[in-house]
Amino acid sequence: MQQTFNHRLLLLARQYREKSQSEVAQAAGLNQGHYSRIENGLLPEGPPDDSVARIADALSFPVAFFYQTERAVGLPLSVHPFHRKKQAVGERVLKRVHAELNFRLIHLRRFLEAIDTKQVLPLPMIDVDEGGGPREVARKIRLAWMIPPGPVDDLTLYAERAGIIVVPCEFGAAIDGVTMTVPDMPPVIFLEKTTPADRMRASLAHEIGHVIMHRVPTDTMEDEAYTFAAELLVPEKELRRDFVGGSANLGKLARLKSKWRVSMQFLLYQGGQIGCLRPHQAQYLWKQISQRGWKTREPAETDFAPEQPGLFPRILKLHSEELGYSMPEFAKLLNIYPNDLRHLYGLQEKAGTSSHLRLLT
Amino acid sequence: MAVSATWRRKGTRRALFWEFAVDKFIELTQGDPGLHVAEHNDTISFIFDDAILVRFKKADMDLHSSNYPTPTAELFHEHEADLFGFIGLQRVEAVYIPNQFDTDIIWTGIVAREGRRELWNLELNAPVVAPTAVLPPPVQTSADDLASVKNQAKNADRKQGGHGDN
Repeated sequence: MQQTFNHRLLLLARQYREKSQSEVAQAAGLNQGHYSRIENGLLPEGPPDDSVARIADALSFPVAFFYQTERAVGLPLSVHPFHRKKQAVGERVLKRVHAELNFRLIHLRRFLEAIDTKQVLPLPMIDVDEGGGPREVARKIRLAWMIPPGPVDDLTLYAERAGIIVVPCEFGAAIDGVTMTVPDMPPVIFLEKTTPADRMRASLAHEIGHVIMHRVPTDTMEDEAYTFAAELLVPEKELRRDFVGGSANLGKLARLKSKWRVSMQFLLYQGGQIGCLRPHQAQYLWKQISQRGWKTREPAETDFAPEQPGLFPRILKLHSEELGYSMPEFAKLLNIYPNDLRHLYGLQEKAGTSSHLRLLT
Repeated sequence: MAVSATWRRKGTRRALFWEFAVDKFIELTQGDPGLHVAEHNDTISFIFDDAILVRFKKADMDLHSSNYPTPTAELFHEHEADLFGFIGLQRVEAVYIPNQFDTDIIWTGIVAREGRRELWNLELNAPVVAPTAVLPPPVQTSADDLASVKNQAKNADRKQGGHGDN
């Protein structure tokens, strides 16, 4: 069957490499106008094989990559930024992340052709207003997932049991988490793996909130997801009890952090939101946190081990161990070169063999 | 005459709350031989088993009740000092914490202090932990159980065929 050149994948490939059209045209030895027509799908007969080979070489993708039939999907509803107030991520970086997310979805779809996943917990779609607001929705999810009172032991595993695939990534941008929900796949949450464990948990809870509550963007969706995350991780009634007695200071926040396994700032914000802290108390503590430089990195003594996604590594492991995929076969399956394979999935060949892979964590 | 929709003084609600709480407590404990109701000049205390003296107060999240610092008020949490003529009693407070709008009570409990320092507190409406039969935990599916290979033979073909022409 005649294969069709997929110009949309060319655009994604270029954005993934963070290159301009002129840079790629030059590297491929092509006229920029000709390249632009190829990228925009304006050549009725498709591009000549020679041009495709040169472009593929310039962008370090196999030729086969550009003949895949997958359609690109748009950016997700929410790209969860590092800081609540810094919602802007540079356009070039955002395009690269968009391209990477598309690649990862294409790859995941490939992986899932060979793998069955099992959902053992419900994952309802609940309208925020009909569900009684984000806090009430979070309470319902705690009940539906049979999460006992107190801190959530392993939120990642709960999400995976509910059919969500959690994929650790390195965005290299001020993005903590992204949710992708496309019709023919389970919901996928991409999490920045280099962030501290407390922030990863909060991002995951936030993204679960999007999966459950949001299908169309609204002005309030980010606040709703934050509130959902707060109630899911630290139920209001229980936190209130923890704030009673003694004085609210950094030591208390640190102790509560080790109990609830969320950041001190998360607890401080929630304490203020639910009226456990008087405004001047909260203000004073924010100032202290800021003065100590803890806004971007809380003290190492309060760190705890990050949760590890299990389902996605298991999918890779089944390919590698049960299906015996070697590095070249993996690369062929996904139509990328081993370098990208290593970068995206941390896959490395086991020493002394080319037939088995191991996952670097 | 216009009638205000709410109390003009914040203390009104709290004073009324105190009155009703004290009345209700006296009603509920009537006939209890271990309880002595001690009336003072403009307040009231309850003495349990001639050992513990309790007063009702509103507190903030730090469990501090506020009083105009009269000498008597200052002495309440100085346990060595005699107060109200009852010597050697442990003095504690039964407190409630209202929410920021005074529309709900978010915590009730007993608090013991020495001066400004809190010695201990006991929540009165904490969930009761009663001994129950141990239920088997729900099946804990591990991540490894959530994924399995679909069809080995089919996948062998897939691997040979690949997904591209490179």
